[in-house]
Amino acid sequence: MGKTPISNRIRVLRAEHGDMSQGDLAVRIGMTRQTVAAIEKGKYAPSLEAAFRIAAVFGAPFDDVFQYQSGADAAFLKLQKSAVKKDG
Amino acid sequence: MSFKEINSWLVLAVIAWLFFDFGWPLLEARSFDGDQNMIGSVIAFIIILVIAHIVVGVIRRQPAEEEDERDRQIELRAEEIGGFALGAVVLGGMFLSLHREDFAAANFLFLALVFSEIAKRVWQVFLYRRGV
Repeated sequence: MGKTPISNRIRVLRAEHGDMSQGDLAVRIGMTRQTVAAIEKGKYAPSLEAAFRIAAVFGAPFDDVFQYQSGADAAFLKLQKSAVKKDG
Repeated sequence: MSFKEINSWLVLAVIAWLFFDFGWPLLEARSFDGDQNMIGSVIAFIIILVIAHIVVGVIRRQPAEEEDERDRQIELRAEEIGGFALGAVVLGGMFLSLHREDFAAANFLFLALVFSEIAKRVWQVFLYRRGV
């Protein structure tokens, strides 16, 4: 799977929270270390629940942790294009 | 590498061995009538896999991680491909049976396909009603 259109600041937030390891974060949100690594690299977009859990661990607002890059979302861009065509 | 991924590599390696050990003589003879030791192969498959799991567990020196949502998503996508492959092979087996006028096998395979589709649709409708 390629990169998801959702970027994140998890690596930075981990560093800011006492150099929390990927494994520690994984335990706190009920995931594997490999999945945390995949989320950080943008290779996996977590479910909404998991994303909220990650934000809760850091005590940060959701959009301080995750950012949606609409320009990188090919499916979204395609939908916008077809909607514009429909509207004329 | 997660334990689930290691497990997939292990199963892939052992199943590839099983395919060549069991299937190659049949493919080579261009006939599926060979008296292959199917039960022996299945037992060997299970034993090798169990031993491989134990060896990996000893080498890794850490317990297997709990499965998470990414593992389940990967599993579901892989199951989809496996389902297509199984369906195609069963369909092939059904036509082969019809061609050989083995109607019992053809009917059984056809009913297997129908039954699996019923199971799939029942589960799908249930999930639509219940929510996921």
